Amino acid sequence: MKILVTVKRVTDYERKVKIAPDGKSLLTDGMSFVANPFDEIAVEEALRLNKAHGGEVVVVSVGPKDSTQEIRKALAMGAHRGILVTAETVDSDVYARALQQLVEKEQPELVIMGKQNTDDDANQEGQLLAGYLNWPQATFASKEAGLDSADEKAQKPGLVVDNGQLTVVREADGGLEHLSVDLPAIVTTDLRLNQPRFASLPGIMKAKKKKVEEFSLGDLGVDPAPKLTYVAYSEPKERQAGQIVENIDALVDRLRNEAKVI
Amino acid sequence: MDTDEEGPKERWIHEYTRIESPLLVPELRLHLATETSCLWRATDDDLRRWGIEDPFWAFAWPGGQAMARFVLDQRVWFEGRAVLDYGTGSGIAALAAAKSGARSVRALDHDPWSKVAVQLNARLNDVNIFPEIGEISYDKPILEDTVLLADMTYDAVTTANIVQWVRTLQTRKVTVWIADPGRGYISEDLFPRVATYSAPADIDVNGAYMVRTHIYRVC
Repeated sequence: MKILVTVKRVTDYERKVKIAPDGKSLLTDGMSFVANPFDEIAVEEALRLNKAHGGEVVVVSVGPKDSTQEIRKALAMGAHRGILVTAETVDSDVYARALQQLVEKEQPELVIMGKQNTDDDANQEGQLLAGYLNWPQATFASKEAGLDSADEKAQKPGLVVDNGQLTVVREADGGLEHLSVDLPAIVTTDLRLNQPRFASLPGIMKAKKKKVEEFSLGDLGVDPAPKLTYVAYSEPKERQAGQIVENIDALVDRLRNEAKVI
Repeated sequence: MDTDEEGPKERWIHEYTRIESPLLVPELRLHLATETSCLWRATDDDLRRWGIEDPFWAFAWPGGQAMARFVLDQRVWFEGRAVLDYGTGSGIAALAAAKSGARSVRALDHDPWSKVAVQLNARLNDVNIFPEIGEISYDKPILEDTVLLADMTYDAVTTANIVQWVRTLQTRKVTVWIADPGRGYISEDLFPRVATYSAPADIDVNGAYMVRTHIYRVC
């Protein structure tokens, strides 16, 4: 089975982002970047399915040229080859349309992608792609057994492929849904689908010699103009410093008369 | 670790790699990262701590294995020749050239760790090789009459530079041998193929997956 899987280069979620002086963009100087963590789960799932069913895992990134680093990381985990679509500004629509062109070119049976990219958290790229391709979609894929289960330790895939049908356990408010979709299909991954593997040294070294093709949006016939304009960014309100009260009576007094909560 | 010194690197290689024979060239022994070596389980962080960047020299790549096999089997092309092995890594192809009676063998690699590994591997196989740290200046003539390029054609930019260099060497009557495990950047349209081997695709020595690896000759 041929699987297309995405890895988007996103700002490191452990670092604080800084707003540019114009208030309309984020500063990228000194920022560090990582692979979108939801995409890493997608890569892991693709590799597990590949182990069970054979075929090929093609890893795709849409973004700046340096995204090859994230592609290499997925190749080091075990994906077979990479495709980079270079793009300056990528909103959800440009992202989904670039993927649409690659899907039409590569003809995979399954596309697995993170449920959202942690840079803008839009959570709509998979849905847009399914819409553009007119393919079925199963979003927020999860695993009933959970991440502490024996299945997870044995690296069993959470997605079940059988006879052209894909069964997906989906996280919904207050429970799980069990979906069945026809292939080809789009799956987006949630946090509890699997625990992505670490790349081993042989994996890292092999990845250095794996093939990564490069296209521009223009090569694929995708309009590079984003549909989304960022009007302004604002920082979260700064938390006020706490105060130390002398004793319980003072605390009760302040809660009653100042904060008026009791 | 003091990365400028070769002594500590030698000791490190002894400790963290294993001596094994690659599948296609059982007559050679190399210090390699194998499943039972400490280096095999290293993470990116470990490498950084040890001052190692991309230890290509610790693996017997399919191109290197096929090239070494070819050189050992076709000694007539290498006997008495002055050989340059560019991007030598472990030195696998250079060792084979020395074994096949080359007059001199220069093993060139940009990685200082490669130089130390080649020295150790040359000692292990009882051959004389001159390892050197550096890059090729594509426009400068070389002293050798034979060049080996094993598994160097693995990305578009490097391959384009190499192909241009090979064309220059051609006009200077240098014979160039290229080994490529079908990485997709060179083909028979570019250079004539002279041999094909089935080489281990995985860089472990077991050969669980084999890949067709071609030898091209440019002269």
